[in-house]
Amino acid sequence: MPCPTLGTFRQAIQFVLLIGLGSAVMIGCGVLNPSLIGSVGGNTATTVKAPSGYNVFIIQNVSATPIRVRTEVTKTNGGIVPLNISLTAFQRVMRTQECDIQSVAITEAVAGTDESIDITNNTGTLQGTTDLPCGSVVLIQVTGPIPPLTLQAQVF
Amino acid sequence: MMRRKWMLAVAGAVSLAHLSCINPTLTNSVNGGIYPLAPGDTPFLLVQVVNNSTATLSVPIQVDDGAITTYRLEDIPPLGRESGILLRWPVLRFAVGSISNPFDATAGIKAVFPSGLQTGVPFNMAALQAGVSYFQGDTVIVNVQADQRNTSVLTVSVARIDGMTQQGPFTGADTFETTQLVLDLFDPVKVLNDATAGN
Repeated sequence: MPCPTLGTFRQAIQFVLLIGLGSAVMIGCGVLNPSLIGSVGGNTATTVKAPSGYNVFIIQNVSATPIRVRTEVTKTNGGIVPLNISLTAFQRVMRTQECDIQSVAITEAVAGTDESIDITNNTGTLQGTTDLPCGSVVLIQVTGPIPPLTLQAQVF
Repeated sequence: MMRRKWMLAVAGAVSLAHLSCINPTLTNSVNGGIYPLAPGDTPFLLVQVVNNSTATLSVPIQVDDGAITTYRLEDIPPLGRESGILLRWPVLRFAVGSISNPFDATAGIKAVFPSGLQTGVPFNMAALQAGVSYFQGDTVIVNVQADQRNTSVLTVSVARIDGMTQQGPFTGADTFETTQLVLDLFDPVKVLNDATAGN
């Protein structure tokens, strides 16, 4: 077997460097990857995928009665995330969901603590594609000085 | 010479094939994004919990904004993946579980596995502080994932989307600007006063 020449040796090194460069680009892109976010504290080796956007749900109680609202968010992959919110008088809370929503349904709305009173809710199921485009803000508001209370949902 | 040009061409092709690896937050800040990934220049802090485990999680978020309040993100299933809470600024500090004892598993995340196994997951890091771990307009992502060697063991890690890179302009809806407007227009006390005046 003939001894490798210097030229052959240089070509081999260039080939290895080329493969290494390509690999570094691919691996490095795992760090630069669009959707991976650097971590803070804890395990610095862990990165997570960034969302594509958010929908915000503002649930507020414009009444003097404590309320409880349960909303089910169905994701496009079939997963269901419940938003169980209990609010005191004139309190509000803001929850978020990423923009992979298929539908949102308010499944329960009651007022009072010891004696639950149904809240009138004429809001149907909100469909993700038509009613809740990405970036939407949904205001779920319970109003009424005294029971019976009413619940309304508005999308902005 | 031809062989060198060929090698450079291949290297270039490999790089071009991974142009999608350019950091989108950089792209966002230079070219403007579609939707904001963090509150940006609005007075909020977004805390998002991501469930990358096989368990259903109930996550308490304890917040100190001058008073201690605990918010509960309940029953986040693996398929549902995530749930978040938007907090009005200032948020002085917050932790998953207990601010005073973030290493307490009983006060931390409650995980229920498909087998019925239940376990508590501590935050295992000191409470995050404003100006140190996060700033106004940021998104803080709390990621819960299973240990690769033992899926019944869950760990918590934290990531941050810098709000400075999410100030627009956006080609899509400016979610958090809209949120601020809705909060101002539909302040509960204002709504009640308007309803009373109307009567």
